[in-house]
Amino acid sequence: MTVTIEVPPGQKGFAEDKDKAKEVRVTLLLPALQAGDSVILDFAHVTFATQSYVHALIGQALKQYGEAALDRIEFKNCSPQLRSIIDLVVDYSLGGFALRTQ
Amino acid sequence: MGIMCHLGRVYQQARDNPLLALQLAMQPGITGAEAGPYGAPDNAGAGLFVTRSIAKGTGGYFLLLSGRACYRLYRSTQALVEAPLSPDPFADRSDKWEFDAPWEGTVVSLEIRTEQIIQFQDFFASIRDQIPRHVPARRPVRFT
Repeated sequence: MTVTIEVPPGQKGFAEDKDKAKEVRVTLLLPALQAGDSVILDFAHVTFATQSYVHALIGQALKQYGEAALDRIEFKNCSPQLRSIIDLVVDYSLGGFALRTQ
Repeated sequence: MGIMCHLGRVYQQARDNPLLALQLAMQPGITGAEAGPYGAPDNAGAGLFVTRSIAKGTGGYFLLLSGRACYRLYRSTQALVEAPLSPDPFADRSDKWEFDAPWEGTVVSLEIRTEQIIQFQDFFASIRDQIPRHVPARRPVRFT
């Protein structure tokens, strides 16, 4: 089954509220993936989002399911700017940061 | 709370060293958020690195003040492709101060010279490409 999630746009299409992103992640995205479903994240009403917002939305799913998450999550109606942010979050979520940690 | 206090919960060496706390906070992947089994889902530790990169990439300045420490990145005279980003902010031309009296909080001030950004996606991609990663290769993201 494929679940479509409409990403909430925030004020004037600018998505920056991490709590909202967390709510979508916890109540919709992770349960759908847990159930074995594919997910369409529809950004039709989002013009731009902060890196923090996108991280709060998809970071855990990427960590939890690894690259396989990319086969099950489709990013729909993303502006070019949004694509840049999503690519960034996917990059570091799957690739990690090559830095000292402690 | 301040950066030293926040990061000090995870990085012990930052607890009594305000400048080190700022240095750590501006590096990608460093966060004071406690990680669970799948990392820190609400905080990546990328924000200050990305904003510092945007400022530097457009030739603007970047300042971070928290507690008794302050850092100021000099304006760059080179384009981003000619002036590679350094994950370590202290490796860039900058000022560092340590004050006797603390500022009870955190201030971030930056200058983004938007006229220097011809194409946002290309500019942002150049930042993304310079983030040091363990595993650079991955499947493509499905945009539809």
